[in-house]
Amino acid sequence: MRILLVEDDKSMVGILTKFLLGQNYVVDVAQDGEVGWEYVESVQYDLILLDVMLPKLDGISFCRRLRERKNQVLVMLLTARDTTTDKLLGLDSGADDYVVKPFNIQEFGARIRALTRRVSTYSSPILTCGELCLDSDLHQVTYKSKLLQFSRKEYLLIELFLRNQRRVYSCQEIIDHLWAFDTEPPNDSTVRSHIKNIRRELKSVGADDFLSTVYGQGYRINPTFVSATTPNAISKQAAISVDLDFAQPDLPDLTKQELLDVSVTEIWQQTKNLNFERLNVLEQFVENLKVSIFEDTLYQKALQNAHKLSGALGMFGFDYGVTLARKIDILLKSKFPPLLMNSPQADSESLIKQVELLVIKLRRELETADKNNNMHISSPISATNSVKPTLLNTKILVLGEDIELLTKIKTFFITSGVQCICLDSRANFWASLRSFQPDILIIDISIQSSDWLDLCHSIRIDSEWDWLPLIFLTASDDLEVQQQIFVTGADDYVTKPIVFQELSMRISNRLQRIKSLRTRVKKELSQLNQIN
Amino acid sequence: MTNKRVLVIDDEEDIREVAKVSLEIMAGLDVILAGSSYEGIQKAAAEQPDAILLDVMLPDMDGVMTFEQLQANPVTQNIPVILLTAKVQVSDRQRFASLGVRAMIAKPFKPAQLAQQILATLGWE
Repeated sequence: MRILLVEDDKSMVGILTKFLLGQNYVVDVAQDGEVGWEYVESVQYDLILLDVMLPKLDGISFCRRLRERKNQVLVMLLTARDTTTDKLLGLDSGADDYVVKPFNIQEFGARIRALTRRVSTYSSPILTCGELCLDSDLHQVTYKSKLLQFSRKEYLLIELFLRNQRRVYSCQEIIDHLWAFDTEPPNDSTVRSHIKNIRRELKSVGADDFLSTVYGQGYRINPTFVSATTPNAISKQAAISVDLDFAQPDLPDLTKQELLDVSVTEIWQQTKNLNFERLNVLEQFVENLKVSIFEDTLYQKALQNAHKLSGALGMFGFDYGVTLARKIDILLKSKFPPLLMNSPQADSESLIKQVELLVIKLRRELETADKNNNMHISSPISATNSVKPTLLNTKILVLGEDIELLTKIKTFFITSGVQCICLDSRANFWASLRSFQPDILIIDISIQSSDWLDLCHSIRIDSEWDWLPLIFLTASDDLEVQQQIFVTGADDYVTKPIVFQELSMRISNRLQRIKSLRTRVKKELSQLNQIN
Repeated sequence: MTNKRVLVIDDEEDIREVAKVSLEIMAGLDVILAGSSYEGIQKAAAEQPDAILLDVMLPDMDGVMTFEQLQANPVTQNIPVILLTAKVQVSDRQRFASLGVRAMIAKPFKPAQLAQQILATLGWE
């Protein structure tokens, strides 16, 4: 796939280019809007990554101009502007996605894949034609399950053909797809040489006629290999390519990143007690509440410290710690004053228990992460090597109304070896819960708000299911909605559009923690039994 | 990008220090630190930084009042101020923007990206 990155921030260009090349894309870079426009007029791109604040021609005008000229290329806006108005402006200009800086590079990659899947009939990273199979996640090509060896350029050539199974490509078109602007374009004989190598490798498994020559025109997949079920109109946008000879990205930035990581780790070591002191204040507040002491001064201090924890922990990569601190902050802000003044004792006790549990979780999270030196401050680039969460055999129940989204979720999980049931109404919810016995429940809160509030409440007061981890999907990044989500008893939320990698990571983390807690409880019970 | 100086005003030592290394390492900026509003206002006037990164929740005087004091002083009124805040409600953003704050950066920030955000906001790329 050929991508145009229009971005004037050199360090950002270095980071993104390095990442995109690692993901097997061909990347052209333009550092202002006008140069970007010239590129667009000369090459057909599959995706344009467009900074909003660009010299000469800003991203919004760039995007509008594209659409006015009926150019339907995919556009992802990259911007530090994150207000709803900015997002609306960006999307209304014709952009297909809007990513707010700073962003996680993994999420960025997942968004690109999600976006390009929209215009491709392939929803899976695995492309097939007859017995030939290309796994774009593993970067592997197999024929009848036998692994084939190709250079990366040859691999990309196969990918190009697999995504466009009925199309004939001339040598020049192949060059246009696989070689970026700033590399010396090869001559036709180089392309022919790659084709020859591919044929030789395919011959070793008995598929030497997989690529056929259309005389005077170019090459294509032999029609006898294209199965009847193969889509015949895969988008033009879906051609995949890469250039391994592309100039190396800005290495000094990587060194800077490493230096920054080391420095931030040192700061954590020097100042971590501040965070444990912040936690102590929360613990003191909870202890007082448990013996019915409510001091306004301590309450205000607890509020401040929950707020400070949520602001500080993210810098050190304790993202789950941030989630916990935010939940505490929200509960303290929204629920405590009215409840403690007006409500029955039982409600207060339940609320105190909720906060206590969160504080305990937060301490464990910090202590465990600190003990294991398990910080995730590393650069977006090093994050690309992170291991995918393993969710094999996990049971996930999903409730929502958006059939398209439910289908996508189900497809994603089933193909990942996860058992997944999706319900598009509440009608059979409890019956499904009991028969399926899920490990985790996901609720899309685009369903009527009273519905999910009631449902969440019912689950949390049900003695059989009150333990069930609950993750919400929401299109809103509004703080009030987030507050409502946590207050109703959710464990986490993921904002739409859904990045499946993020969703599976969050599920994996949640389940891992439950497992750790269970092991710990089991151990403590066993110790207690021994004492008794 | 060198020789630009940024004053970071935040009462939390860890946040100050992380902001400092981020701006120094990733953007080559010089950083001046202040742990309170009072200290920040003093240093802003004395050091004349090119920009100020100001925490919204400061114990001695909140960020908005600090900003107003900076605006009231002819020596500091033209220094661009970026607020560092965990408050993300639209109403807050509108309020801060209407005061004349150059931009807002949400906490928790990622050290690797803080410098880029500031450079982009101030047009220092």
